[in-house]
Amino acid sequence: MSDIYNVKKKLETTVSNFISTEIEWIALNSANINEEKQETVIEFLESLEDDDDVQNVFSNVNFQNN
Amino acid sequence: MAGHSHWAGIKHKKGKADKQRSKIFSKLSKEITVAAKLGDKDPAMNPRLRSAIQAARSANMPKDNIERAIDKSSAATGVNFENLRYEGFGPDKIAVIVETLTDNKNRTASKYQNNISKKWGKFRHSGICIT
Repeated sequence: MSDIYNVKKKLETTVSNFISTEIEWIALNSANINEEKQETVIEFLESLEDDDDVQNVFSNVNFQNN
Repeated sequence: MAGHSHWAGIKHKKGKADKQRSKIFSKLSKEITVAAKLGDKDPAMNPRLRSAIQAARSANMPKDNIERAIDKSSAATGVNFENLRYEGFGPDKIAVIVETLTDNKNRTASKYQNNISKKWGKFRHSGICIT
């Protein structure tokens, strides 16, 4: 927690437009899904995020940008 | 459509965006309140609070909201918040990690067991996805 703050501080001196710092879960094995399923998956993730108790949702989905 | 006010057209979109915004704010302020409650009220002394405030700032949360969230931590002494992590599989076997912050883990747990598991797939406490 405090390490990331020091890293961020150092980065800020060299990078001008800083957007965000976060500690995240990154999947080692990502899942590719086809386009028809993409909407179901987004609906699923949104239904999780909608909950008041939920802080963060991470998944291993590779979204195709289109 | 004649005689149609512009607002009628945008209110649906704006209503949705406002709702999402307030939802994000309430999540961020919850994290600030809990962080301030568990540690020092001074962000310089409390790394968790510091990163919570930074996250709130980068989401353009008003300063008033941040201060209110910190103040709230001294008022809510009877409530105990807990971090719980859920892991599970969603549609098409995608793996999902859900981090929750709750004052009543039984409520949260039953919510997952009932609503989400029924509709989408299995959700349990930590230990399914990460090995």
